[in-house]
Amino acid sequence: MAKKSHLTSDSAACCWIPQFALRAETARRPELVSHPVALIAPDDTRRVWQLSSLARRAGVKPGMTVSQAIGVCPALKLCEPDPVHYDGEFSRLLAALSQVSPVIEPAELGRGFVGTDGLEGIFGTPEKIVEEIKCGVRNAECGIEAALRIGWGKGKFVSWVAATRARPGQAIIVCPGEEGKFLASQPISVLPLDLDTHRRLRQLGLKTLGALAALPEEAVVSQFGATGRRLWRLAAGRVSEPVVGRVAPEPIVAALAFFSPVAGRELPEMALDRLIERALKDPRRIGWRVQAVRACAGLEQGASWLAAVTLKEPTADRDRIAAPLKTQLERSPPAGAVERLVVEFTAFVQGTEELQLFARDATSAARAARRSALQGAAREIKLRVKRSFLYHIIEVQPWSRLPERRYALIDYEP
Amino acid sequence: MRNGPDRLRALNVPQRVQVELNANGLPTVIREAADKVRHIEGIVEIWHIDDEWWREPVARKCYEVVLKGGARVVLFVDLVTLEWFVQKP
Repeated sequence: MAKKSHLTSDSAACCWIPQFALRAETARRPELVSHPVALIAPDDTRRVWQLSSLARRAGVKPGMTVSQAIGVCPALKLCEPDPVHYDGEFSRLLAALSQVSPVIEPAELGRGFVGTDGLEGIFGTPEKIVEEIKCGVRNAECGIEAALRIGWGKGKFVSWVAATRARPGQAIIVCPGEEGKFLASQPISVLPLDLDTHRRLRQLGLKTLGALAALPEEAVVSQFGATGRRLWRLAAGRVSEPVVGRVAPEPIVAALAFFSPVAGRELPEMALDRLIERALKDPRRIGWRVQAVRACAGLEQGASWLAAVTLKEPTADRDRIAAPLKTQLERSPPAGAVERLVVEFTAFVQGTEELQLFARDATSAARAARRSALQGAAREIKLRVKRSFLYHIIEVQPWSRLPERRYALIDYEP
Repeated sequence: MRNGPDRLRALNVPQRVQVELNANGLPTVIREAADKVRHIEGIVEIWHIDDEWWREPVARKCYEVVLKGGARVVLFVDLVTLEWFVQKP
């Protein structure tokens, strides 16, 4: 995907809502607020993921197994994750932010950067820009605006550190030229560190970014290599990573030709599912959720059929994308037998790469492990025989008097 | 029959063969290649298929036959092109 240089910004506002998924859950189920609550991990239904403060106070820790958590806190309310909902809420937040600035970079669920270069000409001082961002988030009406923390500064790192220091609902602004002073007093835990590097820095007695920046750069590099150089530069405020907005992808198209014209709804519906799956796997779609989709069918004797849908809630979930198309297929079916079916994603809304993992229905989390094993087996087959020979057998016209019309193979991609 | 990547792949696609007939016009030998000849021991059933007259008409005369060794296959002659095909029952 080509990135345009004008979609970058040196000054950044980091918008951060910690525990976004849990907050989104409690926002729609207010009765949970007075209870200790644990959200079950979307990728491992045996473990707890995000916890309310009451649950933490009761001794529950993220990553505990469900049985351990219940043992520690018998009153714990366990919630099945609803990743599609969280994804949708974050999408609304990003859409609201994009009303303030065209340069938006989502980082993870609940955290995104707003590029603010040039906004001073519209809104004025950084304080006023931040107020505008808060106002934009309030307009998203996610019900979790009170938890929003904003950091403003030069580059993503400074703004992120500022956001981590801000109180809920408030902002910290790091004025130009004050980055070094601001960063010096911050703990080293704000650096993007792995556990081992963090431990080694602590063992060396380095507790703040200022202490790290006070060391000669080369000394840090000799200890930690290239990672050390980056950490030192971040700590010293010597690097400023700009916010990079993204250009919406071109339409993504997936097509399927039937080997003989197909009448009825069953097979076109199945083909829609397969085509949507295939289009969702297009690498250009990573980081984006589908907002508008259309399905076109080439019919016998040159006629055609078209269904165009704008999704109320942008999603990367196959079934949610397929549902309105299938409804249209039922309400106004093609006027003849279908020879070729095309699915086209025509509009997108920003999401993060992480969101693509989330953007499934909640029950799919339980199937993730099985799917993973299946994918492993498929990869192994592909390695051994150079290509995947895995297919689904599907019924095409099982009633047909011509045996070759009854069943068919379709590529199987677990 | 259209097959290929990004398409549905039909199962049980008929394979073109050469067939030797006896004096009554019934198949006796199937020749799939020069060195692959299969003798027919008996004919189990004969039927006609006439279908899709509104599109590309399909007209077949089918024979379910037992081959030497016991295998069963369906032989048919395309009555439009007069070509012979073999297919699984």
